[in-house]
Amino acid sequence: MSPGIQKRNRLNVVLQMVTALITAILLGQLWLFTVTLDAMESSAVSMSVAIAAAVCSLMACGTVWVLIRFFLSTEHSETGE
Amino acid sequence: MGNLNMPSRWRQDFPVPSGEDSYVTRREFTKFLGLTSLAFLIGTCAAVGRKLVTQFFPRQLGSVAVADIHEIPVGGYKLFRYPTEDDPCILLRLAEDKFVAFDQRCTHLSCPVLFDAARKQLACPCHEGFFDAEDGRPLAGPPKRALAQLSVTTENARVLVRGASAVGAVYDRAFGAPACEGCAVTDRAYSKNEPVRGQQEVTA
Repeated sequence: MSPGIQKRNRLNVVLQMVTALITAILLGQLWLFTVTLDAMESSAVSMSVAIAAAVCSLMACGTVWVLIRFFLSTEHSETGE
Repeated sequence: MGNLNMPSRWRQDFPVPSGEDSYVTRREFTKFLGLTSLAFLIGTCAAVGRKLVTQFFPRQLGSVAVADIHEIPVGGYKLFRYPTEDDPCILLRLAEDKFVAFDQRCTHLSCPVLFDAARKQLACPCHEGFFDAEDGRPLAGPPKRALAQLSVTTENARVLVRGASAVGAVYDRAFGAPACEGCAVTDRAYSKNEPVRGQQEVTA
């Protein structure tokens, strides 16, 4: 197996791991979004729950950004592109 | 023997040139994931912002007379529209001196709820949802949220209702929302002693 193909396979594995993590985070963000929608429509859900959901969503978005940066830096170090 | 120069039938039906196919690069894919996450964050923040505006700047609507006290017997109801002609509501008389009013739209899928005086319940015929007629809380069926309740007062032998809209006053000040036309129509009709839309729905 040529070094180029090995490198590409390694990058694909990294991408799959990052994608799996990000997918889990996106599912969590979707759930947080439904929580805030419920809070918006119903006065029974307190404001603190909605704000906590927004903060968690912000943290999740930050984590996704960090993971993407990690992947891109890995790609850059491997391929130099 | 078929003509080899002619394209096959499926190519005629689905003329997708393979030369225009493009692969999604890893960077494009990660960009898509990041934008999806950002979209969720924006949606969440928008929902929280709307709840904040609704909670801290509620738009108080004016009181509207919707019925005379003697117009509705005990166990009876009356349909009316508030605050606009597109908002059906129901006024119930549960006891001699007890009136309650709710938004008539079921919190499940917005079917109109009907009053069952014998059980003191509001029933949604579409999916068999039931609400307590005292406070509008869901009792059975698909609805999970209580019916929106209007505050009811009596004054000079008339029943007045009042409610708060989900849209905040800040929104109105920013975008210049129109006045409550439904309320004006109702008040005008009562001042002229004319029938109001939905007023005929008085039953025991």
